[in-house]
Order: sequence, then structure tokens, then C-alpha cells
Amino acid sequence: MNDHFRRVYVELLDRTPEPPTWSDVAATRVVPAHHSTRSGPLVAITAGVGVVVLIGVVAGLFQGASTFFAPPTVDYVRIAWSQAVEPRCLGMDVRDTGGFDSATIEVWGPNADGRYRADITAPDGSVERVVADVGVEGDTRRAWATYPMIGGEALFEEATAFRSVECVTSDGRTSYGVTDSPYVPTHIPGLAFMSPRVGASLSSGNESVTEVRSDEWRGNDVVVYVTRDTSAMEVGDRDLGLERWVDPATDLLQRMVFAVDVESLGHFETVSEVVDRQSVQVDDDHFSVEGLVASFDRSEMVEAGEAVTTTSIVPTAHPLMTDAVEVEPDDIANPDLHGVIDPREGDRLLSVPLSETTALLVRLRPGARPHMYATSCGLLTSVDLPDGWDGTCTELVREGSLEVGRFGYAAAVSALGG
Amino acid sequence: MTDAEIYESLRWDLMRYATALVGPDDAADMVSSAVTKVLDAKGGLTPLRDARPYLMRAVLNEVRMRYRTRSRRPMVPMASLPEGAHEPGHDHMIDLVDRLPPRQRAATYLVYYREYTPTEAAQLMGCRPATVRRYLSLARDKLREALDE
Repeated sequence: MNDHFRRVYVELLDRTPEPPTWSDVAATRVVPAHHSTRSGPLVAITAGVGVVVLIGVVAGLFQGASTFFAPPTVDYVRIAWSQAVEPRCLGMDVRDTGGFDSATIEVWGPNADGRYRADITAPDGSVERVVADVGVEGDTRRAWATYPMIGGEALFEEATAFRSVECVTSDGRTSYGVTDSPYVPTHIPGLAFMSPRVGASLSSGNESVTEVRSDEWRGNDVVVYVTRDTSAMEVGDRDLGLERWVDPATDLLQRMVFAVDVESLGHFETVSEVVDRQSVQVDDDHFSVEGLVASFDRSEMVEAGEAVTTTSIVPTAHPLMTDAVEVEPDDIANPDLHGVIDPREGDRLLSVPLSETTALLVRLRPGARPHMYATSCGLLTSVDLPDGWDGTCTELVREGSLEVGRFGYAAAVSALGG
Repeated sequence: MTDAEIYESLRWDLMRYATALVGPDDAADMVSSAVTKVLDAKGGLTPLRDARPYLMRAVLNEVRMRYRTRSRRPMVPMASLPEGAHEPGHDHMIDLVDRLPPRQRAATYLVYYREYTPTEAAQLMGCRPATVRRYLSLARDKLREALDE
């Protein structure tokens, strides 16, 4: 397969033209005028006075009209991030860059263009910034393009200050990342601003929600989701855990613990904790990417001509509940699923079709929590639906577009006296 | 070393890279624009700690900016390719490489032609090794699909 590429490049490079000479390049360069003249300082002082006067006039004119010129309001979140890594790298070499294991991440957004900015401040005070355009196919949790910079200058790379660990095979040709990057929360900034969706975890193959519970954290009642993924990888079994603490009053993320253990690579854990959340006013310049080049650009991942959108608009919610049909216990053809659901007198069963072979089944039982069963031919997983919410969001990708629905079970529970 | 000496030592390497990315017709333009921008931004090549990867990234960025503004038109006109390359499926391959986005093209050039490891290619492209592997995978998938057609 690789020889095909090689042959094309061999032929292409046979035609490599003569490169431009140094004098060609230097001749096209715009040389800045650094020569000072006698009049220079005077011009500068004069211009400075002019600016001061102009600002004074403008301020005087618009004093008291600040609301008219008020910058737009965006959400602001400050996150304490830390990581811990124990590399094993069985039969491989460890490549450890060193660097910091913690950071303060501040995120602003989205602005009117669906853009987020994240400043990642290392313990030594150095700041790396990522501006992210988000929203592919309407999904605000995915970055369309990211623009990293440090000290206001475009960066080619990310995470320069933070520790990164890889396991490298002895021939040096293959490497496996053990750590993640503090940029991850900013690549998917929606996580800081949006509520996790149960349905997404329920219907995503190996990953499953194994626990949803109410708990207390920092004196607040929160809903904790624990998801597990124990799928096997080529490097050995992988045990992945994601714990998300959500404030039920706002549905917003408070704390996230991501832990992954891969047999041959090692253990990695990262904690992102929201320590401040508010609305702030910032100028649109705050999100400027002028002079920067996207370091990650999803447009390079799609085929030419493929329809894509960069809007950050969450698609209109599809009322999946209206698609739900009430089914009878006998309608559950799969005996295993029937056994798991264990329908009893007084139960109501609702089926929300997702595709021809996939459905969500929800059991409403008097005196018990609504319980959701995700199926794909057979049972994938099931979970108690959390208290305190009017409903649960479900989502699926149908023909390439994300559909978001809301399963409003509160009224049904109320009708059952639950 | 002076700026001129640094450039002289790298210009063929940069030119081959640019040719692999955009074809022979536009390669000189890409190299010239990229180097000029670096000179303007940094005041010369001598302040660069390691000029080669920096300039290679600059060339790739120049290509990417051009690619975006040209709304993905083919970057290597067929007319500029050598004659006689007509083994079965060969035109198809050229077409395929022609349509690859710049970074997939850069990854396939650096790894499959120059035989860099994904980690080394990542340093030259300014991204992570995992990202290079993803670009390679995407490019291979496209090739596989093309060969199946």
C-alpha cells in the first residue's frame, strides 16, 4: 500500500524545479524601516498627544452610554487541571518529555461566531492559548479548528510546557501516547459548558454507563455518572473510566475524572475541576486568530465536496418522545431482554426507535426510578434515570447529522405516582 | 552561519517538500512566500533554534493557506506530471494524491517517501505523532477505496 504513495512521489519529485535563490527570496522581502530620523521622536510625541486628545473626546462623548458599547457577554469557566501518569511500556522504551503536571485553564465563549478561547497557565506563569472554532455538523462539543499560540505568537505545536509520555517500540517506528493533553478540555470546550448526555453513553458500543448516583461534593448535591470502557486494544486490555460530576440545578459539569489503564502502556489519570463559573463581558478581539494558522483543522479530514458546516448551533431538538410507542411485554421478542426488564403488573414500557435494529426502551414502574435499556439487536446496557430532572437528553447520529431529543419522563412518573 | 548560508543548505529540501505538496508548478512560489514570511517575522533565519523544521512547517502552512483559499481545487495539474506513467491504476493514484489535503499529503511524503517515523514527521509538521498516524490512516483509506473501485 505504501509503495503506491512512494511511486507517485518518486515521479513527482523527478520534476522538482530549481529552488529560488537567496537573492530571489531576499528581494521579495518587505524590509521594515527602522531608520530613525530627527523628526521621528517629534512625530511620535505629536501622535501620542493626538491619541490622548482623541480618546478624551471619545470618552466624553459617550460617557454614560456604556451599555450601548458594552462588549458581548460570554460564559467564563476556570478549571483546575492535573494529571498523574505511571508508564509501564512493556517491551517498549519510555519517551518522557518532562514538564508540568498541572495547569489552570480559563475558557471564554462561545462568541457570536461560535468561537472559544482557552488560556492554559502553567505553574511557572507561562501561558499557552488555544482559540477553537467549534461546531461540526452542529455539535458544539467538537472543535472544527484550533489555533494555538504562546506569548501572542502562532505556535506550530501544542502543550509545550506540559509533561507528555509515550511508549515507543524498539524500532522507533511506532509510538503510543500514554498521557493526554491539557488541551483536551479546550478541544471540546462544550464539556465545560454543556451537560453530559446519558443517551450518548448508552448507545456507544463498548462504553457503558454503569452507575448514575446522587452524591455530595463541595457541599452541593451533584449527579455522578461513571462510564466504563473495557474494550481490548492491540496493546492489551484497556480499562477506561470516566466520572462526571454534574450540578443538577444547572446540568453543568463540575468535575471530571478520566482514568485509563492499558495493560502494556501504563496508567493515566487526569482531573478537571471547575473552580469558577460566571458570565463576563469581553471584546470580540479576545477571540482573534489574526495571523494564526489552525493547528488542527477538521476540513482536512473531509473529502473534497463533502458538505460540512462550521456553525456552532445546536440543532433543533427532535422530540424523540413523540416517536416513542408504548409497547406490551409480549412485544419484547428477545427473551434475554424480556428477562432483564422483568415487566410486572402496573409497568409501562416505552420504546424509542433509533434505527431498524436499535432502540431505547424505558420502563416506568410505580415507586421506582424510570429505567432505560439501550439495545442493539440485544441488550447493551441499562441504567436508572436520574432524579431531579424533567427529562433525559438522548442523541444519535442519523445519516450524518446529530439528532438531539428529550425524553420527558417526569410527567409520566408523576402520573404513576412515582 | 549567515541567513544566506542557512537557506542555501536547506533550499533543495524545502523545494522537494513543496513539490510533493503542491506539484512543480507552484512549489517555488510556496518556498519563496514561506521563507519571506519567516524572515519578516523573525528578522532572519539565524535567530531560529532549528531552521529546518521551522521552515518546513512554514512551507506546509503556506500550502494550507493556499489550499483553503482555492477551495480544494486540484493542486497538481495533470499536465505537469511526467509522461509515460500509465501503468494500470497509476492515473488513479496520481488523482488520489492530487486530492489529498495538505497535511495528509505531507504525512505520506514524509513517512512513506522520506521514511521518517511518525514521531519525526510530527516534529516536522508541528503536530502529534498520533495525528500523523491519523493522517496516514485517512490517506490509506482513500487509497484503498480508490483501488477497490
